[in-house]
Amino acid sequence: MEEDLSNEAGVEMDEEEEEEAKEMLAPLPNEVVVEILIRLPVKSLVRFRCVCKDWCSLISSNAFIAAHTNRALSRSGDNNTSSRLLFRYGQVIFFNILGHRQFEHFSLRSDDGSFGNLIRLKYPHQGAFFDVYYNIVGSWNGLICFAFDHPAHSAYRLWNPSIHRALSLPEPNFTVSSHGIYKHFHGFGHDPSTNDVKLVRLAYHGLHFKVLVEIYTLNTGCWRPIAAPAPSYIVNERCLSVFVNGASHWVAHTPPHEHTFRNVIVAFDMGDEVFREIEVPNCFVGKLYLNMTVAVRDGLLCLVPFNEHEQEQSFSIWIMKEYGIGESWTKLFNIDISQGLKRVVAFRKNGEVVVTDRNGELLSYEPNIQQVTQLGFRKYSYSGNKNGFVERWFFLDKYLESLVLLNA
Amino acid sequence: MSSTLCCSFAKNVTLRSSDGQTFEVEEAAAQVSQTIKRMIEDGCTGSVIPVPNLTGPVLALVIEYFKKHSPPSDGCPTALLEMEIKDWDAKFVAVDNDTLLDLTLAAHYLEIQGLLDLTCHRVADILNDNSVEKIREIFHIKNDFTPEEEAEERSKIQWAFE
Repeated sequence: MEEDLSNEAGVEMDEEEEEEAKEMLAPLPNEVVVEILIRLPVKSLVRFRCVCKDWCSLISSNAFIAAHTNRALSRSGDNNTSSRLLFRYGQVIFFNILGHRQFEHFSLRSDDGSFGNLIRLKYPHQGAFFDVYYNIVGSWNGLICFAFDHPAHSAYRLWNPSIHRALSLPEPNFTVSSHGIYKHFHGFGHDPSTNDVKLVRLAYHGLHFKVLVEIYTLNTGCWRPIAAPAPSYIVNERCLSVFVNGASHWVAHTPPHEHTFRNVIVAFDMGDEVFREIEVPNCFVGKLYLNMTVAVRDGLLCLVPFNEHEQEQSFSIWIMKEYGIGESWTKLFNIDISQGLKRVVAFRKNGEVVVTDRNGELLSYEPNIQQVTQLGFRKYSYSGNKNGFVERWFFLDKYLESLVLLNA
Repeated sequence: MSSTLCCSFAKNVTLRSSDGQTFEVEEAAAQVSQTIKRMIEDGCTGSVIPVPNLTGPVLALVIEYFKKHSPPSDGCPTALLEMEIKDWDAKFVAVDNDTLLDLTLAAHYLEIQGLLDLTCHRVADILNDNSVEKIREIFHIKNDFTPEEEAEERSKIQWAFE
């Protein structure tokens, strides 16, 4: 869209030329078109790619996608904008060794008191993809990263529901056959300095818990090993990661061959791609089975209960008021529910905490008056076979519409 | 009263549009435009300030905007005044599409951030629910896709047209 300012007064044009000029003249310079388009919702923008080739390449450009996302992000802090949550709810019933039945759904929920269903999301090619269970590594403003969580066959996908687009990532470099990888952990996040989306993978191999680290970036479309040294810590089994302050975090501990056992939080900065160590609260440093995981509340790093095993139960919520400063760990409250707390799923805007109990029910817990509300996702009873085994999973995170993946 | 005296002696500048029309406006009001502000600071006030990208009718509208948005001589704007200006702004951009685009361009050339936000917001509102064809009409954009290219592009994003 060339800016044409040469036709100023003084240049004479005949009528036909003038008519032509009006038709041909793109009256607005690119910066102004950007100023206008950046205010539009993603659905309109995707449609307007059909207006002309200039608009198509403008809307699909990395710079525009980043500017549009950043604008949406900076406005999501406003209290008057209604916030939405991405919700995943799945269940699998194993009848016997051969048979199982699985379903799951994705939806957008409002983050007001009601937790109301706004839109049911449909994963493209759902059937084929969800034949096997994919974990959600994390989501970044509505872009969701899935991992088929088996080191023998690693498959990853990104999905942006707001533009109906999914992307299969290439296979990583470190595999069972190449390096004898036996377990791995992931972190998903964003590097604002390059406007890049990144997936980091910590792959353990060998006898001494050696770890190889590789990273996938959306801008390059491939995996590469990282330059910085890998952490000597071992990430806790089944630990979830959380992206906050520009870094992915995991709960980890010292390897068995070290003399003193210590729990730490390992952080991987998505910008400089360096690992750092963050202290856990003093009372948890030496705890042998730390049944807690990392979470984020109001943009701050938290430690929350993660009672996946039959050990001692944890129920306290800790928050790190100043990022990286061990002394700023503060205990917020205990989650005191009679049903037995399993884990924290998410924190909501209204202060409530979404949790699951030992029966797999999804509950919303109000910490001030210690009230529990059922969110209405009851376990589907399975009456056909008493040996049936049910597993359920929930995911809940902040959701923003974005154009990320539009040009991928 | 000294304040009246001050106002009656306020310095004026003359702006000239691309088609040669001239407008006299208070210097303080014209400085709502960063471009004009710089020109005044650079000492261009002695003569007429040319505004070559704007025609007379558009410049006249922009001067209306200047007057409404010039900093009040008596200190901070009150909440009431702010509300009044907001109403005025809404009416100001309730114009036909071509005029609205002219104002958007004017805000861009003259670096009037408030007006640019106002007009871009209004244009975005108009665009949002419109069809691709209508957008081309509003912006006088020629469709440079071949029918096959456009059909292919559309088929990939069927959902966005539902």
